[in-house]
Amino acid sequence: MNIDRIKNMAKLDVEPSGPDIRRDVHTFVAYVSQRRVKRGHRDNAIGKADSMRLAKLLSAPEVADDLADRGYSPWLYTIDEIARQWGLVRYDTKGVYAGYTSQEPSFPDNYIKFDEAAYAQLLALSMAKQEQRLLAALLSSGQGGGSEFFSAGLGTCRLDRFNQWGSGTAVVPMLDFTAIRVSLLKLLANCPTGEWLSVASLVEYLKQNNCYFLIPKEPQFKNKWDQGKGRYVNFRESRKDRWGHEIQIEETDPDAFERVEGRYVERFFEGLPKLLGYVEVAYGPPKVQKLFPSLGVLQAFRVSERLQRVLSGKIAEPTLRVTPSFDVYLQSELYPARAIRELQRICEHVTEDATNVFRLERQRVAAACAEDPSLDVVALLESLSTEPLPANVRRELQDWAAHGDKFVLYSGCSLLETNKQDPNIKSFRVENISPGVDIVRSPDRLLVELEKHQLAPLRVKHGEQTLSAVPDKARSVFPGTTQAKKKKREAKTKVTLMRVTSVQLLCPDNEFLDRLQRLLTDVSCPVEADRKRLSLSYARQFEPEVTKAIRTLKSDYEVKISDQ
Amino acid sequence: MSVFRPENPLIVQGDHSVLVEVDSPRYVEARDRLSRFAELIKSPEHIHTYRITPLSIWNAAAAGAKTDEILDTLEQFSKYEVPQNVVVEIRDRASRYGRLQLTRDTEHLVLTAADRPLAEEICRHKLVAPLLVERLSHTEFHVAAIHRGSLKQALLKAGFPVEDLAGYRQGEPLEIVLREQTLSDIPFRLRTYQGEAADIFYAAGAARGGSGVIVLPCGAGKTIVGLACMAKLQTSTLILTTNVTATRQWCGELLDKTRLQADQVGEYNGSRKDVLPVTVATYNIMTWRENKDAPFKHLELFDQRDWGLIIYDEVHLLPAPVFQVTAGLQAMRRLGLTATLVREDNREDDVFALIGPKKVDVPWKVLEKQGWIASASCTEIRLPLPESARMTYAVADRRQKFRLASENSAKLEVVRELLRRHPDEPTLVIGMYVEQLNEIAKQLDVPVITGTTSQQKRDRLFEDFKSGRLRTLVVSKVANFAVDLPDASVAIQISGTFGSRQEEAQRLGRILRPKAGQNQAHFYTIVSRDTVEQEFAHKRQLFLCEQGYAYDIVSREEIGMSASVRRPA
Repeated sequence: MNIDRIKNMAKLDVEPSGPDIRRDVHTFVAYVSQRRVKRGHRDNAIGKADSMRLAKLLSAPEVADDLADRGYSPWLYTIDEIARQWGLVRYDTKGVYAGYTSQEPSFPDNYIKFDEAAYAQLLALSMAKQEQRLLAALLSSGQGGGSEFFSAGLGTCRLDRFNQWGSGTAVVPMLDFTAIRVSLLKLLANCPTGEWLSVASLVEYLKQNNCYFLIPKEPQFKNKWDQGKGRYVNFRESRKDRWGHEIQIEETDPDAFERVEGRYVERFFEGLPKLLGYVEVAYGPPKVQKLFPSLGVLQAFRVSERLQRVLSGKIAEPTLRVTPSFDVYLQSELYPARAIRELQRICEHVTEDATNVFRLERQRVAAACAEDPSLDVVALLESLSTEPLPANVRRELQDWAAHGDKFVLYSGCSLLETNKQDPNIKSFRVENISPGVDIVRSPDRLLVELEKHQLAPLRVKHGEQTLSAVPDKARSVFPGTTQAKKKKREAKTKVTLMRVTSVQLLCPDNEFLDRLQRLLTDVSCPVEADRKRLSLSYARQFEPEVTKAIRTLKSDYEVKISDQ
Repeated sequence: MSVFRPENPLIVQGDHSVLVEVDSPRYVEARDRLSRFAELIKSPEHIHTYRITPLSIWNAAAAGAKTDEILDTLEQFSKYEVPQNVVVEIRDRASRYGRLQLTRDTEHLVLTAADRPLAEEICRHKLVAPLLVERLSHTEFHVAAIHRGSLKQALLKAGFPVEDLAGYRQGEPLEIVLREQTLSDIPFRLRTYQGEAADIFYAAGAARGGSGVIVLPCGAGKTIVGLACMAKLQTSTLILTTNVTATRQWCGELLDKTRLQADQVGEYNGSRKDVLPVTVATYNIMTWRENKDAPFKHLELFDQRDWGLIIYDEVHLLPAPVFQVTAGLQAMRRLGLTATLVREDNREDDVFALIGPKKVDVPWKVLEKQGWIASASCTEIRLPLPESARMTYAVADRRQKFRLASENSAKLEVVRELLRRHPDEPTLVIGMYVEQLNEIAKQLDVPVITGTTSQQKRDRLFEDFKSGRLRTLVVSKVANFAVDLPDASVAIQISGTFGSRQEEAQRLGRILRPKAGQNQAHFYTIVSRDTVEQEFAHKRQLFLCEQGYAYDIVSREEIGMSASVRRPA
């Protein structure tokens, strides 16, 4: 394939990589799985409050702006739609006629339901299969009026589109955009990777080698009256300086292919391939476009190796490494949803980036083990990890996991504290904690029993929320439970301390010190001079007098005060 | 993030951290180039973490690295595409270094800005403006010599580090020659990296050299590098150290490895106040004052001779008042020596502005591989509290709990067992509680050094330990810093909080000096299981693992102690 390389990229504006649709689908699913999200009664859209919350979680910054500007976000809509198509969430899409004047259906109490089993199934798929599912969903979405001709793709799109009311009426509704996109992706997969290539050159290649990739030689038309008017019927462009004057693109025009198929190729690049990170794109220098829709603005593209790996199903599985410092590094070319989900149970998610960094935490591990007794943290990490776990980490994890078993809840029991060597409570003992301290059952019966043995027990009944204090004189090994005698406070002598802040000025020489001291003495400002240190000290309240005196000296000196 | 080169070892993250895969075949090359402009944060097995900071970029720029070289390194070794924000930030930061230069004309110091907008910006900056005496032209300012340090600090805070090319005072000349045979009759010559470090610092006497920090791991011979720099400069030198023991060791090394005579090398500390051509003082004496309002009278030492070089040992511990004085000593050559640039008080930027940029940083793994420092294995031994102590522990408050766990009487038997395992190796038993240390010393019949031990006794015991007459020494925290015990190869830590990162590094540093035979050191920590002590031990474990040391956790049973032995006495 002979496509021209672009040697000088200096004048082109490379579009930075955009939001991560893969991550956002999983973020969306996680969100709806944790909340009861109700869809709009009339429009069946996600409510404003949930949308705004989701906007903060999703990686696409434009979601919040779109919601604020037009109350609707195409990105959020697509994410929602993908999650529904994949069966990860369910909700009513048909609605019911609720008797309003409009014929539109209503969606009463339409809550989004999360399908845990379907999600688990998705996560169980390999990264390559997950990607293929995503690709399939995006390839088939946006047909006819929703295609790249008329509708901007997701993420940042700079190019304008054809007017749907014109070009969209003839051949476009009959085109199979899924097949068109697949054919273009396959073509891109054969392009050299990592090099900036010319879009114009690619269009030229298509013109020479596969000129019917978009509109067949003998296309079908939506309306009978368009038949016989040529393949490009209703494809009209206009000049921006002559608004309303439209130019019909004729099949016989020598540049008709560039004006129709070329425009499509540019807009195709801006859509799915860029969104999924299969290509990077670069635009020409900004200038006033005379034509509508614009032509030749997206000038360069660079194909990544990822496209080839996706099409050949060779996307590598995530690699996970646990270091002896309890850090977990998760590397993956694509968003590793399953591993992240598992790790978030037992780790703090420190960094979310090309490599996700986690840190194993004792409390999380213990909590996860307590919640799910079947969870084997070591086995889990070993199944995810590419390297054996460091010995110290394995050891600590076992200890931490055991912390989940440390607490046993005894109900209907009491704590018996005694200084007797053998109080004969064997039949009541549930657990011996230490010599003299036992957990015992049937406390009422035990008290009677103890009294029978001439042991006079002291019973402390604790409240539901707090422990009661042991009465005075009673002794216990537990600190802070005996009421300490409150000493009567003695009346204290009241003393008021006067605080005086003094300022010390270090003078450059004796002469200056003398003059300043004299000036201050003249205005009755108490000042203390230390000739040895050349310093003058005064209380801060006399600052105005000192400032005035220094101002007087400024006739002879250039005075600057700096703090030490 | 579509670029993916799995064979490459670097992963540049958007938060300016750089992850380095140690197992990659390109690791060594990548590390050597990366360490020029990024600070190593942690280096556990498999993946090391570096961070690119403004200071690290300016350090690199000061060492002559170009922006394109930095970006090229990232690009060349990166697994994924380098995030755009990181590229922009590096370009921006690197472009700031050298746009301001401080030079000397016949009389004054002159600050020169690369262009007029920059000159306008800095002369309006509230920290910088008061330090500029006069505007000489659109881009030049006259600066008072006394403000040289303060100006550098202020400009760094303003985000425009100045390149100081104003040169140095030569100082009082002094002939310093390194011996080829030490006084103790051992052949002596600089190791390659020591010689290179001194050369880089000296920079053939140019104004670009002569001030900066040399970062070498514990046990790598920072003192020797200091001597080498002195020998290059041939001038009177003031050396500041952390404590009296370190002072004595510097003096000892100076006499042992250079041709300086005893009447040329002086100590300046609480007991002696010699001001000789080479004077070794402590930070403590420099910052001593009668009360908190009194002046630091010993700071006058800086003016008592025409010093040509000041060496700041363990520069990461440089106290604030010494920083202030150092700001006024910018005409003298300054050498900082440390094992880590990380300061607990986050004043790394002051070290950069006032002492100088990092000149040399040799990773300890490199030295370990070359055999210059010992490889260390860290083992944590866990043992339960004795049954009788459990209830006391359970009802104690947190502070008491820590002490109870630390003073677990069963630790003694573990210490005995470890000593049995290393019968011929010099061993330090390190602890925090004096009573516990005294008890253990009594039980083991070995001497103990604590804060109350006289300097004379300490010196004698250290000497016995060095010479091998003494195989085991029990020490408290006093042995943490700058105690040169060349033959210690086993350290057993029986109690102690996780103090600071430096403290832990220093403790380990006691055993890292190269050893005969397998060149292997052992660092044991004995911890009471399921107690608060274990939490502190976990922090220590993290620190040591982050430093790249192998760390193992074993139970008392796993080191082969039988049940009968386990019972505390």
